[in-house]
Order: sequence, then C-alpha cells, then structure tokens
Amino acid sequence: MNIIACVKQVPDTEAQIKVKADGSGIEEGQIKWIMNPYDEYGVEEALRLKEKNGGDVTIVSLGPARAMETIRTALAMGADKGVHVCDPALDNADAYVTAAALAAVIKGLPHDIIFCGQRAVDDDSGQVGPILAELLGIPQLTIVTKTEYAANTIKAIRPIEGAQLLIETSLPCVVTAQKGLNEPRYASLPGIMKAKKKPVDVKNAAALGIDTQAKAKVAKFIPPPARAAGKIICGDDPAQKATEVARLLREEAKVI
Amino acid sequence: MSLNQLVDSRDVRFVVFEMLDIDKLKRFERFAEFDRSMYEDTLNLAEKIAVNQFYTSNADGDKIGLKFNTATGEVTVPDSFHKAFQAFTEAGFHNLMFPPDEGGMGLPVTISFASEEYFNAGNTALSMYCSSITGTAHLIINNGSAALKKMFLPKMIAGEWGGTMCLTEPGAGTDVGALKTKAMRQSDGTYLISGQKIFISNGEQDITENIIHPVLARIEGDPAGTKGISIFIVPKYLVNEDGSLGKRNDMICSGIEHKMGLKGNATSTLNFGDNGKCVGYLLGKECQGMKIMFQLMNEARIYTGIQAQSVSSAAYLHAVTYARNRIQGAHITQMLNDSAPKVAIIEHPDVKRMLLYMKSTVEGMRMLTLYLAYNQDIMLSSADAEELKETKAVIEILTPIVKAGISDAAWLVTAEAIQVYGGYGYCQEYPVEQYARDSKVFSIYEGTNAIQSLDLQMRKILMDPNHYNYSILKKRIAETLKAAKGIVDDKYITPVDRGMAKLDEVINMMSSQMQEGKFMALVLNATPLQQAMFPLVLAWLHLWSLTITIPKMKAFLGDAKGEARQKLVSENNEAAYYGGRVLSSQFFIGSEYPKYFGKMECIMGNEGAAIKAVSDNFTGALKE
Repeated sequence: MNIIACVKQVPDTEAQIKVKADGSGIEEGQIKWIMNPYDEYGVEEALRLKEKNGGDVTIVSLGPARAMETIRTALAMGADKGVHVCDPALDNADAYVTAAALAAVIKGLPHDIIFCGQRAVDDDSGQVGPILAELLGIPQLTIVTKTEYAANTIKAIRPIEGAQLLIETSLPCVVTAQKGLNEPRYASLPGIMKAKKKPVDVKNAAALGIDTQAKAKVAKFIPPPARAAGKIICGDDPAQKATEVARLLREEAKVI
Repeated sequence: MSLNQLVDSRDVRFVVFEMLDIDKLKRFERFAEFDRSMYEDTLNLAEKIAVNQFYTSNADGDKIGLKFNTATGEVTVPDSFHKAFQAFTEAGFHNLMFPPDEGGMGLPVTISFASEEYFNAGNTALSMYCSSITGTAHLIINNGSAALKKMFLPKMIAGEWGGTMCLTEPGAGTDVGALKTKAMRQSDGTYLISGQKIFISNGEQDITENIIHPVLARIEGDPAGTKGISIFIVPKYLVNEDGSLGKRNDMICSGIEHKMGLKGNATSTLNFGDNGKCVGYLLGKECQGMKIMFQLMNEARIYTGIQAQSVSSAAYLHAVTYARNRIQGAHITQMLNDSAPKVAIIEHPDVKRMLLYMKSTVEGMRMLTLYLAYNQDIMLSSADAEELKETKAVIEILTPIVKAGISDAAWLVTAEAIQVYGGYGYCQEYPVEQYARDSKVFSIYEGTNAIQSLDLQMRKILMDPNHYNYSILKKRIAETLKAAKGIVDDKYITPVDRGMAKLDEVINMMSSQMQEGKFMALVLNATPLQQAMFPLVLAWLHLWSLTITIPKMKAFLGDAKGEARQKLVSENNEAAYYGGRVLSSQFFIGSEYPKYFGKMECIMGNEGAAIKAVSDNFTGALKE
C-alpha cells in the first residue's frame, strides 16, 4: 500500500505565544516546535496500516526549514521517506495554497490513502484535508476516530452530536484524524538513527508549479485581551451578597 | 525541549553543548556520525517519555506501593509502572551506550547520563528497574563467555529480562568479605549456589518475565575474605537451549522491606538453594568476583549520584513553581503598610535565597555528573596513553564525590523544597516530601558515604602514587582559573584559587599523619574532607560556567539595570537563562562555597574528642 501522511509543524501547546508588536504574526524565536498533535494520530494510523498490509509511508510537509525536524520525527517513528515543500514564497500560505502544494506533491506519488490531522492547533482552520481531497478529486472521511480497512475500501467512524456516523468509501481517499483514533507511539533510538538516513525530497513552489498567491489574507494578529481584575463582593449578609451577584450578572455582565 | 516539572532542559543543553562542547567527541571515530540533532532528538525523547510516563507513575510507587505474595514469593508493582517500563525499553534507552555490535546505540555516556536525569527525576524507583538491565547486561558483555552471552544477552538487550546486583548478606554489608553464600562445583561446569542475600534492589518484580542475578559467593575451599569471592549469574528462570524460558531456578524472594522511601522498588531478601538445586554460572574466572563486581559497583555509585541529582532537580523545580503561585504576605519593604498588595512568596528575600541555593546546587550537580560522563567517553574512546591516564585520574577522584557529595546534598535540597512549600510541603497531598524520603537512601546504599569518603581520602588521594589523581584535578582547576581571568570578576576567582591552596595544605598534613601512623586522626577527617571537596569542586565548575555565561549574558543585557534589565529578562528566555545562570554561579561561589573554609579549619584543628570518646561516654542511652 502507498500511504501518505501530511504533517505540519506547530508551536508547542505549552508555549507562551507572543504577538509581534506590528501585529504581522507571532514571535517565533523562543517557541518550541512540535508535530501538530492531530497529525501525529494520522502518522500513527499510517504506520499501523503499513504494519498490517505492507507498503510504505511517505511524510509530506509544507513549512520553513525548521519543519524538517518534524518530518524527521515522523521518520523516527517509522515512516519511510519524506517530501518537504520549502519556499519563502509559501511562508504565508493559507489553507488553499497549503492544500494545493500538498496536492501537487501527492499527484506525483502513488497514493492509496492519505492521512491528515483534522485541523492544526495553530490556526485551527480545519480546511486543508478537505481541500486536498477536492483538488485530488477523491473522497474524504473527516474527523475520524476509528477505521477499518478491507481490500480497496475503508470504513470509518465519525462522531457527530449525540451519535456516530459509520461511513464507507473506496480508496484512494483522504482521512482526517481526530483525537481518540489511536495512541501515537514514541520514536525509538534506533528509529532516530535510521531517520537520519531516510530520503527527504525538498521541493519549492516553482518545481511544483503552484500559484503561491493566498486566497485569504490575515489582516492582523491580536492577542486576547488581558484578563480584567476580579471583583470581590464584601459584606456580612450572604443573602445580600447573593442579591448583589445577581444584580451584577444581570446589569454589568448581562449574562442573565 | 519544553518546560517541564522535572529537569531544566535548557540547562542540560548548556552543560552538554556549551560547557563540555560534546561536538569535540567527534574526533573519535565511534562518535563521528553523531551530530547535535541526534543528541537533541535523544534528549527530547527522554524528556517526553519521562514526563508522560515516569512522572505520572511516581506517586503510585509511593502510595500504592508493592504487593508481596508470601505464598509465591512474587512482587506486584503498580500497574502504571508496566507501561512506563515498556515505553523506556521500546525506545531502547537501556541499550543507549552499549556498542552497536552488542545491539546498542553506541551513544556517548554524556548523553546517557543526561537522559537518565529525566527518567530518575520522573520516577527514580521505576528507573532502577530499567537501569538494572543495563548494569547486569554490561557485566555480562564485559566478562561473560560466549555461551553466557548467548544465553542471557539477547533477551536483556531486547528489554525483556531484568537484572540486579547481589552482594549484601545479613552479616556482610559494608564488610563484603564476610559473606557466607556458597558455591559448589558441578560436573557439568555449573555451580550450585546456597545462601541468602538481603537489601537487593529490583530483586523481584512482575515487570520482566525473568530476572538475571549476578551473585557473589565463595566456592567451597576458597580463601576467606574478599580474595576468595567469585561471581555467578543466577537466573530466576533457567534458560533452554533455544533461548526460551525454562524451569524455575531454586531461588525465591522471601520478603521485601518496608522502607521510608523508594517504596516502588522491591528491596528484596533472596534465598538461593533452599532445596539444594539453585544453578549458577561462573562469570569470569574463579576468585575474580570482587574485581568483576567492582565494575558494576562503580557504575552503581555513579548512578546513585545521578539519582540524587535527579530527585533534587524535580524537588527544586516544583519549589520554584509553588513559590511563584503561592501568595502570602506583602513585600518585606512594605511590611508596615496594611494596604500593600500581597505578593507571591518568590518575592520574599529568604525564599529567593532558598531557591538560589537549590538552583546553584542542582546545576552544580549536573555539571559534575556530566563532566564525569564526558571523561568516561574519552576513556572509552581515546588511543592516546597520556590522555587516558589523565582521564582515568579525573574519574577516579571524582567518583566518590559524585556519589557521596551529591547524595548528601540531595537530602538538604529536597528538605529545602519542603521548606519552600511550608506546612503543605510536610503533607503527603503535595509531592515534595516524597522526594525527600526517596533521596535519603542515596547516602546509604551502594557503599555508605563514609566508605566513599575513605575511598576518596585513602585510595584516590593519599595512597595514590605521587598523588597523581589529585595533581590532575589541580591541573584541571588551574586551567579554569586561568581561563576565567579577565572574564570573571576576581571576586569569584580568588576564593577558588585560595581554596586550592588550602586543600594542598590539608593534603600535606594528612600525608604527614599517614607517615607518622596517626591513623585515627586521619580517618576521622575522611568524611569532613569529602564534605569540603564537594563544594570546592562545585565552585570550580561554577567558575568554569561563568567564563561562558558572563559574555553571553552581556550580549543579551549589556549594561541594562533596574527596570530596563527586568524588561529584557522578561521578554527574552535566553536573556533570562544566562542572567539566572550567572546569578546562580555567583550565589554559589559567594554565598555557599565559603563554608568550605570553615570545614577546612575543622580538619586542620584535628580535634581529638572523637578518638577519646568511648561507648560509656554516651550516657543517657540504654545499654541494649
């Protein structure tokens, strides 16, 4: 089987994000970068599928030079090779341009199934997987928590409000991974060593023949407002204090 | 590299990459292929598994503890230990520094020690089960016959079988030569082992399907004392021709200790040959037991230092986070102002002092163990006879300081963490009291600190021909003193220089005492000497680090003072790191290390009260 897993390098969920003074982006210098956790479920699922059915796993990632670390992490987990789309012209790629770049890479590779995270934890758009499937003209199973494979078909569970959908489609298709799909393995030391020698193809936008013009433009990054100081309601009479709380919730906070 | 509750990952990078400059190891062919990203990936993986699997199971070891089945002699560890152990061995950390042709990664000892800090800070009781494989397998790799290697190594390298180290007996603790365990030669070349071992860490557990015990015993007819001791490999389950598990060997765990700390690790009593059928395999040659076991004992001593460092690190980082979040009292400059805002206790001068004591001591411990590891890497790689000789001397003299100095300090650092937490620190609901209880045994096991001190004073210094080990330590310290001139303020150089002169004086005095046969006076000063040399060595390492951190700090902070400096520090992690590291070293040399001179005065005083005191002078206590 030819299995593809798309990964994105994102800031560590523990990192303290600081917005640049001019609002053009975030301060990147002090951030620790990790593999998007949802993509990690995708990589794990790809590796399990390979272990069951044979074949190989190719990691595809778009990002600046540092994204190579994330590709290597996936290779250390057990993936076989990688493609790194790296081009300064793609630094501000939106979901569409990202999906177009991934699609251009994947079109040139044999592919039976493509895994993506259901969204990236940095910009939370959740669009890359679906757009990728559209550009490739293949079915998509999104936000999936369980999969079952048979010859040339896949069944997947997608949780919806109060129920679950069981969806089946033919291969090739795009699957976007949701938390709960599996528990990703740790890399191993032999895996880390082998990863150094696994091939990673680096491509730029021109080589892929894609339009780098983003369809969406981020006008400005704004940090969330600082938390306002709390208000302490003083007094000796609990009933009176409760009345005051109710009044404030109604008149100031306007929530009741 | 993330922020975590266990180890300051940035500081590990500083010591490994900036101070020791591990890239220099590339001059050895065995490390030529490794690069920084390989080391980073290894440390990141250690951190991830330690934080997610070890740290989360630490309280289980303490609060759920072990279950001992008296009928079967089996020990059950907490559930969470299994998954963490599996993550550790699947990643291959137990083989990290073994040579590739033995199935290992061949990574530097420096990276091994740095990784061990994460695991031991996460859960040191569990880490012991993990490292028992490494210690025992290493013994077999270095001393085993081809047949023994074939029988035991594949499963140990695969992380499927555990190990131990069986020395102590009821009547043979510090005095190993008094052991009574016997071995009888059999016609098939094996031996029948009979006897009892106590206080055996990792002695019984249900994590691995088999446990491989290296056991010291005396072959019938061999001389008394340590020179008649041989070493045997005694598996819990015998091994079939094809490497699979055979029948149960005649050895059983007859009980486990109920301890103050390290409750997740089975400190076992092991009975060998209760039915006269316990099979053991000779390791090396007959009567070489002590020599062979010394390899493992030395490794265990250094490992104890790492354990002590790791638990101290976790206690320190917990204390910092607590002090940042615990609001109590107004700032001391506002104490008369009733309406002054309450502040986090980290703003109180005495709490800052406690935290700086812990920070500078933990960072000193880390520099010391990693420096030792770096020297081991050179010793295992170099072909240059002079370099080997010097490196061996450094390792020899620093090993007892790593074991005894760090373990003594761990008890103080973990106690200080409790102090920062106040009353809550004394409560089991909070994690720091476990660190203190876990750490106490480090000064006791693997050779008590009194034994380490005698080893340092006698074997490593006074009886060492021409005091070679000591001369090399002095040479290394002199190199640092020279390099510091012009970079570090003399205020921090002079005390170290003066301390070296003082140490010369003390060693000369001790040499004379040895020639004059003043043996009692001499040995009474063994522990004080060890306890003085630990802060001296840490002061040296802090001075070394200042030669790197001061220029870095200046590059970030320039001459900024007051609010401007505060702004730079709060906006830039690197500025905060280097600034903090400089303050830590200055605190240690300026505020902690000067106690050394008092200790040296005590030694020079040669107070004889302890020589004169006899048992009867200790009045007020019952006779029995």
